[in-house]
Amino acid sequence: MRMDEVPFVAAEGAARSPLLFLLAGVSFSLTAFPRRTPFMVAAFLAPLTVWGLLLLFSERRPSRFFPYASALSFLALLMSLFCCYGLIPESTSPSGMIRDEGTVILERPWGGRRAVLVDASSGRYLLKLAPNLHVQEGNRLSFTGYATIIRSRPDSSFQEDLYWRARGTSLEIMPESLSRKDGGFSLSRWRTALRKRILLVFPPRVRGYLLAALLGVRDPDLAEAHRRWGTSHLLAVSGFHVGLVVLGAWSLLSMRKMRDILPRRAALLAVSGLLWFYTLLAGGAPGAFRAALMIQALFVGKLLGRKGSPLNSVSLAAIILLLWRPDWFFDVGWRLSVIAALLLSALAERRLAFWILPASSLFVWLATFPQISATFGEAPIAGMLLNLAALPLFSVLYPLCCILALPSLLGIPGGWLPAGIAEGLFLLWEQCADTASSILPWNLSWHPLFAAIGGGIFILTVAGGVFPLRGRTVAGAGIFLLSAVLVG
Amino acid sequence: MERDRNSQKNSITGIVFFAIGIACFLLAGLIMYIFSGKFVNVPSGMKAGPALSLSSSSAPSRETPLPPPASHSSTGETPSAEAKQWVLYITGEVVSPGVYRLPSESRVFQLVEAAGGLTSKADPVQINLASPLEDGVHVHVPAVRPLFSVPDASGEGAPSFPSPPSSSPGSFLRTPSLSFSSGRGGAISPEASVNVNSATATELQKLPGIGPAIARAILEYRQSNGRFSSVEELLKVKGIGAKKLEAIRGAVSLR
Repeated sequence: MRMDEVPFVAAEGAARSPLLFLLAGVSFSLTAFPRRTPFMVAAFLAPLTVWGLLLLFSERRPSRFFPYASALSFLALLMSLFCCYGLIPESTSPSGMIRDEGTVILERPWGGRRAVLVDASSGRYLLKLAPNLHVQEGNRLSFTGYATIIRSRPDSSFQEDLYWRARGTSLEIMPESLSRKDGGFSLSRWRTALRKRILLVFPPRVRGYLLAALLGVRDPDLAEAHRRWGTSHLLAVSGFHVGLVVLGAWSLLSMRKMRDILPRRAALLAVSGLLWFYTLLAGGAPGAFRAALMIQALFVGKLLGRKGSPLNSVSLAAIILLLWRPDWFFDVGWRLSVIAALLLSALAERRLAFWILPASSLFVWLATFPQISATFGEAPIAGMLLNLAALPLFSVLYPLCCILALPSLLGIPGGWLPAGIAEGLFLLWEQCADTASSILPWNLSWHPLFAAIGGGIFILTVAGGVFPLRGRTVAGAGIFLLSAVLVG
Repeated sequence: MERDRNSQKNSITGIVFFAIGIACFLLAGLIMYIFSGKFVNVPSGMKAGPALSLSSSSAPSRETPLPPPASHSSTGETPSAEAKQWVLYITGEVVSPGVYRLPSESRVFQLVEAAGGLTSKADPVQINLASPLEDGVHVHVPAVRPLFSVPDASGEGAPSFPSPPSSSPGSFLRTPSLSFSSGRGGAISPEASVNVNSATATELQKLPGIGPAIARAILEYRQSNGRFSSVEELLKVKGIGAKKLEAIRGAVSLR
């Protein structure tokens, strides 16, 4: 059989995961946008990237290859145009005094103050308030003040404007007057009620982990400890947490007795409902949304009887989020979540041996190193070691903690005992983690060489997920890495 | 034989396509190199925020030729704010210094926004972004420099601590009738000012418009939030608005 007559192999390249190429194209054009490239020009980089990747990596080019590649690149162009256009700032500046009322949808520590995001009738605004004002999620806040555009501090690597734009606002109110009242029924009020209950009832560690896993709220002491251990991702609601919830619910509904009561399709719908409820309850972080969309795509595929590709599902979820809010591309949470998910999906595509799977946490550490070190300045080396144990351990500890905390949460007498057991388990983990981090107390600062190694591992692993690992794939990954380094 | 020829042909095609793939990335890089920095609309930064349904919100327009100074608005004038525009001049550490037209009743932050925002060298502590403007005003944004340094003879780039009286919108403002370098009396030396980070309630009450209640509010704020990092942070204290801050600005210090 002639090579150029090889049929389009379903298990390779664009046919295996077409959306991965779209995601790469859109990402490339969004990378160009902050360099003040005109949006039309930035958008045209997407089809070029799609063509470049397909030609670099594809060793097999059957007759349908070119129409297929053209369609993909055209789609990438449309999506990039949409996303880049969405990033264009409006030319009007805020003017005059804003007087409005809205619901507090997010409240979190911000230095010595509390950052409060208010969904008002004229839009979404950020206010930074003194902690003694006790503004909580779900409150109705009436405010009068001047609006200013949120800007990053020039002396800080943290880009505050991008952080808040990814959360739907670019305006901060300098309040001159404020009044607060309890809001009506809303998810935010549920979150506040649950938060109060957790804060009042549980010992410190259980409290911190429950707040993180259920509400996406970080306890400062716990966050500092996990930063030191290099396991901060365990506190940020992401695919790991969403996956645990879905896996738990699915395992429960797949039990023989439950299967007799609930048909398979109804079980899928029930788990889907729980999935979205949890995602929203946990604060709707980019990583959680990405995971929820990905799992939902896999469920829909299952309902339709289609075999899903993990890489395609991750790409689909990432693209949907970008189309919804292009600013998410600049959110470090979105980036870390997508990088980790793509890498793990690529490893899953290859169906690697079980003993290789623990090494995936090492791969994830290396692949996310460029982003983490660029954002936070450094990454703890202990994270490489600790993550080997932390992920499997917390996949047991988190569900166990939720079960043990339930009696206290429901106010059942004697509930302190199981909560105390959970506290003891977390304390044990803390001791082990502290010991491990004392063995490797160093942090790795951002360095172009390490960043290139991390990026190279990521690109090569993902490429290896859709193409066989041959010389062409390695060379293609090298060229794409070089382009990404030059562009980024 | 035929098979070998096909195989050879295929490998040549593969290399050609690989080269075209590289060319795609080279072209993308070239395009980015050529067009980077050509999109000038980015600095305004207003994007994800909503369209404001508020008063005068006409977009600021940059003036190329310097127009004659417009007369000061007086309280007796009655034209609507929407119909009237102020001509304002901004210099110093902003992205695009120059003359701008802004809606009347604008404030300093709007002029700074119109000028593309502060540069990394700007000292945000020395300017009051909430300060109201006047028609024909000249705003100078100083660069970061040691506090209490001696201003040069021209007064150019002088720090804002020796403030003009509170009737002026801000120490960095230069109206046609007010030359900053003149000092115009009333300058308060840092030694004579009240340190809001260490003052007692009695000392705070020496400030204009500060009574026992506001003094107590300042102390409470300091206790719960730590030291004031900028004079503008006083706006967060209950009872201190923009007007009151302007009244006491020249009389307070942070260390």
